[in-house]
This record gives sequence, C-alpha cells and structure tokens, in this order.
Amino acid sequence: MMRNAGRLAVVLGLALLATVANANAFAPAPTWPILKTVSQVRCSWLTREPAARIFANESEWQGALAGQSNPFAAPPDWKRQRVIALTLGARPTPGYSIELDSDAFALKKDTLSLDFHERVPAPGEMLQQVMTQPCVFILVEQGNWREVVLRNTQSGAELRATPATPFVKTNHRTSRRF
Amino acid sequence: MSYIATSIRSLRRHARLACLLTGLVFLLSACGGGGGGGSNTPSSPAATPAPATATYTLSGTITLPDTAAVDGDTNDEGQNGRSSNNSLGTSQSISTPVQLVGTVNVANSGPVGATYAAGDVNDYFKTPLTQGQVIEMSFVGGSATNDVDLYLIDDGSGSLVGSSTSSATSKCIQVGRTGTYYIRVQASAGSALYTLRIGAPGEATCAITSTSTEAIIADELVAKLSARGSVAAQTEVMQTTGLQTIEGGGRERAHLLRLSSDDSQRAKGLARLERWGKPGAKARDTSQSATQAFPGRFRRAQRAMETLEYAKRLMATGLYDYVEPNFQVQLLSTTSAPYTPTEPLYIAQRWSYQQINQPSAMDRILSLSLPGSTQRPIVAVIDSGIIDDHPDLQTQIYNGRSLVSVNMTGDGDSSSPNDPSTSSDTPDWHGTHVAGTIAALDNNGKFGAGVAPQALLMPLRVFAPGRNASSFDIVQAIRYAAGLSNRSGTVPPRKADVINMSIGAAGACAAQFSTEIANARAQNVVIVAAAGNHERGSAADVSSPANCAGVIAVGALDARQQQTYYSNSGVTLRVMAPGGDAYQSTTGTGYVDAIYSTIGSFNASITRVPSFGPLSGTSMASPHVAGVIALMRYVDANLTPADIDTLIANGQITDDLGATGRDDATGYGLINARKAVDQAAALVSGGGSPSGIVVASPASISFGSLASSATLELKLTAASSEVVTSITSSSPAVSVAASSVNATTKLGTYTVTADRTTLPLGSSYPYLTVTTNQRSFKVQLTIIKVAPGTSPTTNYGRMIVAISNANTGVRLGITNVYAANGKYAWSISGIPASDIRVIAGTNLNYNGYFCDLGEVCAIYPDAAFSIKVNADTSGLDFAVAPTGITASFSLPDPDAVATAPKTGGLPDTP
Repeated sequence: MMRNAGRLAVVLGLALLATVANANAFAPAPTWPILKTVSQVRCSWLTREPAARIFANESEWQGALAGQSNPFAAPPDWKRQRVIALTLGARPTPGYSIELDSDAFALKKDTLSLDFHERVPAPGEMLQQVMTQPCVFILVEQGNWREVVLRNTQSGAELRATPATPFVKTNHRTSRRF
Repeated sequence: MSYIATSIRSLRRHARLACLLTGLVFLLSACGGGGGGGSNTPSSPAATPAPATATYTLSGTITLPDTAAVDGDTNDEGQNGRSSNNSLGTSQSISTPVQLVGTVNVANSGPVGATYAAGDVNDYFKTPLTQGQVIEMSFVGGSATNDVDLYLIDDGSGSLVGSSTSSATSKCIQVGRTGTYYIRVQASAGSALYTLRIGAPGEATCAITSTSTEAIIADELVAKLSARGSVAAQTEVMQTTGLQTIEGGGRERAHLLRLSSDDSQRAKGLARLERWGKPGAKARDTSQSATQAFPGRFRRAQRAMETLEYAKRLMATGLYDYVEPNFQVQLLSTTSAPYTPTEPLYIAQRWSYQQINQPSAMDRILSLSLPGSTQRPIVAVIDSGIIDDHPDLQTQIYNGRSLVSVNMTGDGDSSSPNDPSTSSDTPDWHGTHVAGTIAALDNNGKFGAGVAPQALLMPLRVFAPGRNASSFDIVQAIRYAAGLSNRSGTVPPRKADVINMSIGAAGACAAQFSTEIANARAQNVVIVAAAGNHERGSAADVSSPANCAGVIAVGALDARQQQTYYSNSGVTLRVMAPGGDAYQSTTGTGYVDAIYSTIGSFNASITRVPSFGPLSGTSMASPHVAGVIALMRYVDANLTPADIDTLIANGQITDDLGATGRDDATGYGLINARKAVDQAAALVSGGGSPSGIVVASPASISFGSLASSATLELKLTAASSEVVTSITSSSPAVSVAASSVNATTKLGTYTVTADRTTLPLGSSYPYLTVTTNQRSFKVQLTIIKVAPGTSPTTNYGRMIVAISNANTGVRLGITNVYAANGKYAWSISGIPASDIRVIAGTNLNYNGYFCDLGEVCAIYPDAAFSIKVNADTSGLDFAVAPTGITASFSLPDPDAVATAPKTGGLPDTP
C-alpha cells in the first residue's frame, strides 16, 4: 500500500512538473522594444576592442559621433530615450557586421538582454583591405532598467554596459572632479 | 475572464513551485554524484575496489634562449629570489642582447598579486649599450586603459636621452652613443606584462634616437586648448595641478605652461591628473611616481620625465588639441624651402608623407628640371571607382572605366568608373581614397595632396556598391590596364605604368591572377597590392593577389614607424608603407594616426559632395608605394618591373626595418621615395638597368654564450658584376674561412669562428667587413662571454608545467619549477597511460592563468601532435620563449574555456 502510494506521489509529482512547465509557456518573458537601429561599418565611436555603451544625453552622444551627422533620422529625445551602442571593435575588412537576434530586448529585473551574432566574410571573398569597426546603435525608451547585457551567441562572450550618466537627476555632483 | 486570471495566477504559483522542485532535483543529483554522498544519499552496496591503474612519471628539461631574463619584482607571488628594481639606486643589472619579461602596475591595478596593493610603477635596468642598439619594449595589458612608457637615462651625463611615451603598445629607443645607461619601464596607467628586447647594434631600427629628448626644455609645455575643452575646466586643471600659464590664452593660440618648481606639488599634480575624469578613483602612491627622489646628478632627467608625463596626462584630459614639451630648436642652414603643398588638410597627411620621405623626393624631382613634355605616368586603381568630380581628382583621371559584370551589379553594366554609391549604401569611398593617396592634385588649395601629383589615375571599377568583387572582373581590369584585350572590348590609348590593388582574399594565388599578372608585367606594368589586414592575434600570410609572383606586396606601418597590429606577414611581403592606426593619435596634430585622403560625403539634401577623411589598412599602404613607383617612372619611363624588383631586393629604395635584411614582418623595409627617385635618376643618367648586389645571409650572426662557429653565405640578389674582394674581421677573436666559395667571385659559404679567449666578459659586438669591387658592408656579430665556472643565469621566473590528455584536454598533472643553471628540470608523477601534451609557461602577472599573451609559453611536442605514455619517460626536453604581444595561441583546455581568461592563458592551479 505504502509502495503504491509512493508510486502515486511520484506520478503526481511528475505531472505537476509537466503542468507548471507548460504554465511557464503561458507567461511570456517581458521584453523591451527596440525603436530603431542603425548599423555602421566604420563606427564613429572609436574603440578597438568589442564594447557596449549606453548614451544618455546629447553631450555623450556627440562625443560618440565625433563630428559625424546623427545616424538616426531624428535626434534622440533624451528625456525619454537612450541609445545603446554595440561594436565588434576593429575588423580587417568591410565584410563584417553585427546581426541582432531579436527585435526586442529581454527584460529581467533591471537588466536588458539581447543576443547577437557576427556576420563574417566567407573564405576567399575578395574584399578591400581597409580596417573597419562594425557597430550598431540601438534606440530604446528610457525605463527603470539599469544595465544592458549583449551576448555574442557565437563566442558566448557578454558585453555589459551601464549608463555613464545617472538616468535620474540627483544631488550628487557628476562633473569631473579630482 | 476572472476565471482565466485566477488560473494564470495559479499557474504562476505552480511555476514558482516547479522551479523550487526542479532546483532541488538538480541539487540532489549533484550531491549524489561521484560517490561523495551526503546524508540524503541512498545507501548502496559496498563498492568493489577498482583495480589499481598504473601511473607513470614523466620528466624533462626546459631550455631558455641565451638572452632570457626576468624582471626582479613581477606580480607573481611565486617568484623566487625577488629583488626590487624600483629606483635608480636599486636598478637591476642586465647584459645585452637580452629578451626580458616583466610586469609593472600602478597600485591597486591588475590582478591581485605580489605588487598589486603597493604597486610596481617602475622597473629600472642598468646596462652598457653600444651605439646602434635598439631598446624595444612591447606590452600587453588587461584593458585598453593600461599604458607603459619607456625612458633611457645616460649614466654618464645624468640626462634623459630617450623617451617613448605614446599610447602605442610597442615602443623603442635607438642608442646614439656607446655608454652605460639606465632603462626605465614605467606603468603610466593600469597594469601590464612587458617584454624588453635589446639586440646587437643594427639588428633593429627605431625612429626615436637617443639624443632627441636632450632638447626638451624641462618644466615647460606647449598646449592648445581644444574646441571641446572648456576654459573653466582648463582653469581648474591649472589650479589643481600647480601649472602656470607663462604665455598665451583662449583657444586661438597655444599656451606656454610651466610646471611647479616644488617636487611635492608636481607629484600631487600628476596624481590629480591621473584621476581627472575618474570620480572615486583612488589616489596613487606617489612614492614610486615620476617624482620619486633621484640622486642630484639625475635631476635633469627627472624633470624632463615629469614634463613628458605631465604632457601625456594633460592630453588625456581631452581638454587640449595637443600638449607637447617645449623643445630647443637648432638653427639649420637650408638652401631652399622643402616641398610643402598649400593644401589646408595636408597637415593630416604630413606624417605619412614624411615617413616615406616624399617631400624630399619632390624636391629632388624639381631639381632635375625635367622638361614640361615629360610623360605623366599612369596608375590604374582597381577598386570601387572614383568620385569623378572631386576637385583633387577630376583633372587627374585618364580613361578609367567599370569592369563590373552584370551579374555582380544586378543593374546593368555601366562603363563609368564613377563610384555610384548612394547614401543608403553607407560607402567608404575606398577607391577614391586610394586614388587620392596616389595622385591627388597638389597646390590647388583644396583638401590634400597625393604622393605623386604628376601621375594620372586610371580608375577601374570592379566593386558594385555593397558587393564584393569577382576574380573574373579583377582579371579583366588587369588586362585593360595593361592594354590587353578584355571583356569591355576596348583598351586605353596608353596602358598603365603601375597597377594598384588595395584588395585581397585569404588563400593562395589563383591561377587566373598569376597568369594575368605575368601578362601585365610582360607589358612593362608594375603591380602593387595590399598585404592584407588579418594579422591580429596570429601571424596571417599575405593575402591574394598580393602573394602572387611579380606583385609588390605592401604591409602597413603606424605613425611611430612600427608594424601595425593588423598588417599581414609572410615570405611574399616585400615592402612597408604607412597604413595608419585610427586608434592612436601621436602626431601632435589633433588628427588620428590614420591615412587622410579624398572621399565623398552626403549633404543635407543627400547629394554627394567632395570631402576628405581617414581610413586605415594595408589598402592605404599600397597606394603610397604605387605613388612612389609612379614618381620613379616619371623620372625614368624605361624602368621595368624587374628593375624595381632588383632595387627592392638590393635594399636601395627602402629603409630596413626589424631584423637586418628582409624579414617576414617588414619585408625589405619602409619604402623611401627619395631613394627611389635618386635611383631612377641615376639609372637615367647611367643609361642602364640596376644590377644585383652582394648580400650576406644571415645578415648578422649571434654566437650567444656557447656557440663558437657559424656559417655565412655571400650571394647576389640578381645578375651583377659585383664580386667579393675580401672579408675581414674587426676583432682577432673572430676568423673567417672559405667553405665552398667560387674562386673568381668569392661568393659562396664561409665558416666564421669565434675564440672567446681574448674577449672581455660580457657582450662583444665585433663585425665582419665584406669588401667588393664596388663597395663594402658590415656583418654584425654578437659574442657573449661568461666567467669560467659561472653557471648560466638565464631565467624566466616561476615556470608552471602541466600535462594534459591530448584527446580530452583533461589536466593530468601540474607542478611549479624554478630555473637552475639556466634550465628548468621538471618531473610529474601519477600520469596514467594516455596520449598527452606538456604545456609550460609563466604567470608573471599572477592572474590565475599561465601562457597569457606576452608571457613565456611552449607546448611539447606541439598543438597538433601528442605523446603516447605507457611507461616512465624521461628526456621530454623542449625550449620556451616569450609569446610576444601579437601572436597568441589557445589550447582546447576546458578549464581555460570555462573562465575565459582575457588574454588566452591557461589556469594556474598547481
């Protein structure tokens, strides 16, 4: 009797696991939409290594553009928008680019996450031998998120970024000090 | 609706429960694994003991180069016999030639190791140096913020005689006078592993000679405020760092600044500058900074180094366009003003043209007073087309066309070479940029100038916007340029003199390329191509078509005249030229160190307009060489491709770089436009073709501390009447005997013998003088003599030796060993029968991984082969050497992959 009860418990337990697993499928993971993306082969924001960064105001953004025109059709509205930049760093030819794996970030607690992969030229492709720095600028709404994680699905490497400038104005001094 | 909402809430509760249950299942599974067993593990029958597995002991010896040395105070906590070298007074004595590995770090930077907390800002080395020796220092850091500087202080005068303080990861100083010196390696920011290499005189070259910084006016800086830097911020910098403005103001002109005369003020000022823009950054320990106490006679050197450090740190604030020391300038007598185009943006091009000595070449051409009827050479640019209405180019274009196939464009076969890119293509105007470097018009007051403004451009478009080129189209373009039949059905009225191909693909030279390149050469066309940009991380061969026979493959240098991090190497690399590095800005102009040339841009109406901008790559190096050859053809229209080959092989139109003679990293060296024009002019007046010359192979010989004989070959680079008349030695300790030599020409192989009996202890640099019927040249020798009975002291610090299963990567054993008598003896027991590899390396930066980039490393037998172990085995002997900062390797070691070391090392877990 006890043995049968044990078996029943196991069966019920497995059924419960299956049920809740399906229940998870009913609850879509929260996402954070991407408003717009702009890709550049030679990123105006120069950094030789792979990197991610969040731009939160016009000053930071102009620094990244380094005199180039704004790649978005309209300037970002910094009161409610942020620009997330992702670059692969230096690449040897124009044959490399970033491809985002989703049209929205996954939102978990205060972290936005997005997978991407790198398009690389096929062996033997005839290309101009000019150095490039592929990057993508991603326009998103400002929110309560505080960190962005961008994962290269080919290498597994993660790039993390937090805003250089706090989103919410506080009494802390943020100007350059010694 | 309410029911659905309740159900979803219920399911979500269940989901949380499921997560807990699932986690518990995994936890139990983990606890029960491996027989470890917790209290919840069900009891099991008593395990039958497995039969004992036989294990074996493996051993061997690791040998080092004669030049091996290690910094006395690395960050490795396991380093034996640590000895501080943080000041002039405690400097570490070294002898040369040397290849020393070490670490430096500012306090609280880098991995937590022996020097983490207190910092190891400075490593000082004391050594005798001979005129012509080059001190080369390369470093690799954990992040882009790390920086290491190199200084050379003359022990005799107490002066700073050399410095290399750019942000580049490779630095050098060439010794100008024989004497005893202090070499200072300083962590300017962060932490780094470094390699210090000093070879024999003439073995390497460096643009920075060791007298240059004697001209620095200590304590004075010349700085220009940038448009981005606010006056208020600059004032704040001045006030808090003790700087005074002596002269100047506003943004319009440069300021003359003076450092505080008070030592402690300067130390505090530097520390504050270091933290500028980094709120919360810890103050560094200034006891090891530039302002540490120097003995009195070295005060001048101290002040000069502080001045340089101030300049660097002020520049890093981002407030200035440039900050440089105030130099004493000597008055030089000149007979005429050198060639300087009036172009407004020539300032951005100046470094690359000066690097190839192009202004001097233009002066020479002017002095030749060539007739106005001189035929302008034609350079074909096989690329993405050209902006045909660019004011720097439109008058230079000659019979270009498109050779893009219909199936590559998808929109028909336009015959125009005009670059059809639109704003949606986000073009880089590659072909236009390359063309501008070759032959942009000079002295028209617009944008910049080309290397050879006398040349005409034949743009041959083979790229459609946003697409790759096909090999067939490229072949058609080669044929068109050479005046041979092609798919366009036409040939130009005049064929090209030079073809430039700033394009490439990995792989061997295709038959279609080699055939058509040979055909073009037969038409007297010189072909130049980019070596490729794939060097980063591992040595990459020269790409195709640059690697085809008959092509001048061009690698790239940065503004410091160093091989760029991306430039490919290989046996087919011929020459180097400026390719630029957009991640550096070292020229003091405010422009990045890229190559600036003609491009296009789009205005607000999305209309294409002419412009000017930076690109970098071997694509940019190749047109510098094409331009130089065009200048040669302008002077001597009869020069043949074979003539050019001979002049390059003779070293007559290049400045040697790297190892003496040709080497795979820098070919025959940096193209020199002045030498090239001089040679062309000499051939015109001489009325002949260049002939081969006698060269030595190897170009220099190192006997180290043990070898007593070596083989030397004297041979011709091409057919020539030059013959050897004698070989003499500068030292009675060295003798030369013919081994297999032609009785008439005395060309052939010789045996060079060194007898150390009469030589002094330490390093000697005698040389052989080879005299021919036309000239004489030296073959540098290096001989090291150690005191009798002295054990070799070569050492790389603690060596970690590990044995891994070659098939699975599983580590089977690991141990630490230390150098004795210049060798490491190792032994590891308990190795089961298996296929294995032995990996040995250092962990000088103590970051948990050995064999990092820049550390010492070796695999035995190698990454592709393994050893089958089924008995105790000794004699597993192999050599180790520093991996350098550009070449890395990785092994299929699952432990290393799991934690992903930043620089590719292996876990250091003895």
